Amino acid sequence: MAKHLTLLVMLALAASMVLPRHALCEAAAITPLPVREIAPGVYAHQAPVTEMNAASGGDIANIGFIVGDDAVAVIDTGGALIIGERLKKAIEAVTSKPIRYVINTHEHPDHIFGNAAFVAPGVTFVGHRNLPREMAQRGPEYLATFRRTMGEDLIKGVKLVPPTLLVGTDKDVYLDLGHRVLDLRAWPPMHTDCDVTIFDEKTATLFTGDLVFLQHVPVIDASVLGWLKAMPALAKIPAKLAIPGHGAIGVDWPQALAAEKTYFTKLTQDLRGFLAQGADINTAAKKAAQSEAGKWQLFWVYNPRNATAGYAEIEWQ
Amino acid sequence: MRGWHGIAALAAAVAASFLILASPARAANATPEENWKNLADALFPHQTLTEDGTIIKLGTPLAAEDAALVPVTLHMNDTDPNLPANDPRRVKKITLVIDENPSPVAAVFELGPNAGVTKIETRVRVNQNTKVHAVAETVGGKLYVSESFVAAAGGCSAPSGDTDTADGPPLGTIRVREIKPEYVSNDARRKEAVVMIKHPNNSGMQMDQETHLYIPARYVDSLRVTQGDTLIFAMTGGISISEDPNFRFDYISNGSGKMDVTASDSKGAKFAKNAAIEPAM
Ligand SMILES: [Zn+2]
Repeated sequence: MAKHLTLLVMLALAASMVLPRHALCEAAAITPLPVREIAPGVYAHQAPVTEMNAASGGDIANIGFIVGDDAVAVIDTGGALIIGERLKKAIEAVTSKPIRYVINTHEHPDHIFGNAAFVAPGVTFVGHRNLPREMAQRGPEYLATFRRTMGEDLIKGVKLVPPTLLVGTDKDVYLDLGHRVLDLRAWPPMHTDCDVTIFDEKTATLFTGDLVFLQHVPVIDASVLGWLKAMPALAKIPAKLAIPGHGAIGVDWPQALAAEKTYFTKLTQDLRGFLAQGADINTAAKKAAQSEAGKWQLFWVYNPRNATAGYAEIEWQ
Repeated sequence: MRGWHGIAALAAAVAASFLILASPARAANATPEENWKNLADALFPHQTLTEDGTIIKLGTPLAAEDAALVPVTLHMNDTDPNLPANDPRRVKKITLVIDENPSPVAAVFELGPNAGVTKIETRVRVNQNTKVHAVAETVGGKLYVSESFVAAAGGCSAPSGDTDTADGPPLGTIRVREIKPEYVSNDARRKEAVVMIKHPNNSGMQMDQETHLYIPARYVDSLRVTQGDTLIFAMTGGISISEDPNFRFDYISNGSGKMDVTASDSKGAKFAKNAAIEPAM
């Protein structure tokens, strides 16, 4: 940490001495995203727990990168082009090795809107087999929605770059960065229909994407029952530390799963109870999982939606 | 009796699809008020729409929690639940319109004259912030309207949740479930039930995961719920009804413990079940 801060200061000094004034202004416009070295060669940025809007500037999801002997893999690119560009600066401050892979953990805008910052020869975009479909299907709506909530300045330049190297649920994909192999696993519907985890075998560090939420209430965009069902398999990944999609980074594994498991269990129990009583979907949306409210941030933003979708899912059981 | 209903349903389906097709293209710069006026002129030409909450009352959430699954409740004659079949105030038909959706007519409901239905709750997709209208036609031939507004984004193209999972019942599975009596009314004959149909109800804007082509709309275009020869309600549907169409309604039970549900989709598939009403969960 101290080492690359010093490096940044030196770079800044060098720039101020050498570059003409206007070039300095442009260079200064993009500041490196703060990152933490969670394990040797594994860097992550912990974003604040908040929503995608002009105030957050699209910096709401944890993103990072892993440096091998030969190349770098980027894991998610943030919720605006500028966040991707700032992540790239952070990478350049740490290593001169080329970026070979950009992995998107899933389709959500806060994880993929920075993709365009990394489009270059020799860079392969990687994601779940369903990710191209999801991007094509929901992408235009995402752009329209977040143009309204974030403003044109943050959205212009955002391009949805679909992956070309696809991970299917039948078989893991291994990426070799040079004496460092990443194990990419695609999951059945859980948080979304296109979740991928990235496990760094060398340091036993796991990027979970949004399969793990801490502090930020979990958002269920595919299947709460699927999420609960797949959790034992997720817990078996032999990681020591995890970087969740939202909340604190570098947390103990698999303990990081405990909080959301409690939430999902409570939510599904309550929904079953409401269905048994005959309560309608609106009532369930307002009342399910209330005992969890104090444990999570953004609870009132996402819990009613989770409960609505969960009611319709559990109703068929 | 059955044959007559069949013809009526067919006629209704033709009429509904005509209405859907006849919905005027939305002028890009029309205000919500102008858009509704254009829709109302096309759907109910030269007719006056009156507001009267005792005849028809529409309930929607102010903001959609999940735009692909927005609960909508219709209350009909709920101050006089047991109007005789020929009472001029009795609602016989309701058209549900989601003004800003690509295909605004979400559903047309026909109510059985002797079923006493005063409530139907279903779930719809809402594509963007929109006014929603329920227009009821009474036996007396008058039209009544109830209006609501829903804030939402992106319901029509939201992917169906379980395209990948092989678990779950097959397409066309029909279930009927009873709601516990304490949630219903003190009239012992009045029951409440949920009819559920497993169907993706593809909105025609969904993309196939293999081909990346848009899936042509395949949706439940008609549904008929009866007890014996007594019609409870029939629906002709559009593509705005949510995946796994779901209808919760009250009715006067004949006590048989069974319900006949028949449905068809826009690809011509037919689904039917003389379903035992499952006890409350
Ligand atoms: Zn997400």
